[in-house]
Amino acid sequence: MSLDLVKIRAAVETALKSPMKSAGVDVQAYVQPSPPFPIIGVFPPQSTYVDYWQTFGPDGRADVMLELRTAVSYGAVDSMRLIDELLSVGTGQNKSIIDAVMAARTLGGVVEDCVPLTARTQPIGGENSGMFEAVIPLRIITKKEGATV
Amino acid sequence: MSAAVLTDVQLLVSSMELGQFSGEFSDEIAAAMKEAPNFAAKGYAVRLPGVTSAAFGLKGWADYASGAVSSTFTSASAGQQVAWSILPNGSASAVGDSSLFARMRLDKMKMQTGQAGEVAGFDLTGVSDSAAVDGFVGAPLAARTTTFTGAAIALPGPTATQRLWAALHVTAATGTDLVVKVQSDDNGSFTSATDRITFSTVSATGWQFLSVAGSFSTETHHRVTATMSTSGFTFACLIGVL
Repeated sequence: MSLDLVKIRAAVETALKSPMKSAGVDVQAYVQPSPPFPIIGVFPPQSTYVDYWQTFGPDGRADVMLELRTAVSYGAVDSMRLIDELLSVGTGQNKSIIDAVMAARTLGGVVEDCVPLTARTQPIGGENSGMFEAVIPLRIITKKEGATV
Repeated sequence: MSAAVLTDVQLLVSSMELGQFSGEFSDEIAAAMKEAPNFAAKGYAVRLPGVTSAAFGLKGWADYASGAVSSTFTSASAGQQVAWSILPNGSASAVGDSSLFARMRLDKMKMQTGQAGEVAGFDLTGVSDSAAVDGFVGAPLAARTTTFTGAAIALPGPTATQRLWAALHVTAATGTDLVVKVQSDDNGSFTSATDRITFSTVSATGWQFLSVAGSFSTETHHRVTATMSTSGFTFACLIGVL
């Protein structure tokens, strides 16, 4: 469970790829140029990415903040409906990206915990781009394991 | 000496290193102030120092894994007597680095704190049950498999009104018969070392907190030594004069 950012992002992709496939949404840890929509990409936030000093010492804990960005085509009603389905939670919400994260909180044992915090939506790609995304910040707790920090 | 950002602090409580679970600690040493008014004080308060006491605390993240903080310090630990040491240089501590150590009673156990969406936490505090000593690292926390002889620390022996204090934390034990001693000498080469404190022989994790009265203030240096019958042990030893 060391702080390996590449491994953590890949683990998010692995954990979500299968459950999101049934929703018809691909998941990419590092989004390829011009990906097919709809897609969930794993991105670092514009604010703090890694907080190295949650607890003391080389084997202490660090926080990693990531964002799941779900991009869909803006114009299509079905696409906007998909955003709502992905952000819904609970019984019967089989397209829920939130429930999918909560079902794999250790990301296959790569981290100690991973939880979605909130969800917001925003247009992307400039005015009249016709694209829209939902942003879900993830808080990830991991051990540093022998780190110098 | 320069100002420094805390990044790696070892918080040794009983037989555990809690720094890896904590990001915040506190310590306070206070002397009780006793009112001693008298007619010659010209209307001003007069106070005399009473007993000295200490309060240590640490806050961190709960962890219920076997052997981790939350499964080790439970409500049953309230009132427990422990050695509690703070090593501000953490895992980089070397012999002679500063430390603060004391024997404490765990008085407040808030082992489950938090709120929705935040990391589960704990809050542990203790009050002193003996001296709180500004001391030195005699043996940094490390896994050892054979005899240990610490470097000499330029620490004068206690006067007749002082004591030499030492705390031992054994955090892992697979060997047998660990014997840790604190020695003094009047030279840094320890050509005529005298055993001042000998901890009880141990073959398990645990802690000890001992002291010996002065005066041997003609001594100029102290060091920590350790032997074991079979390896190995992970331990730290802190020493100080107060």
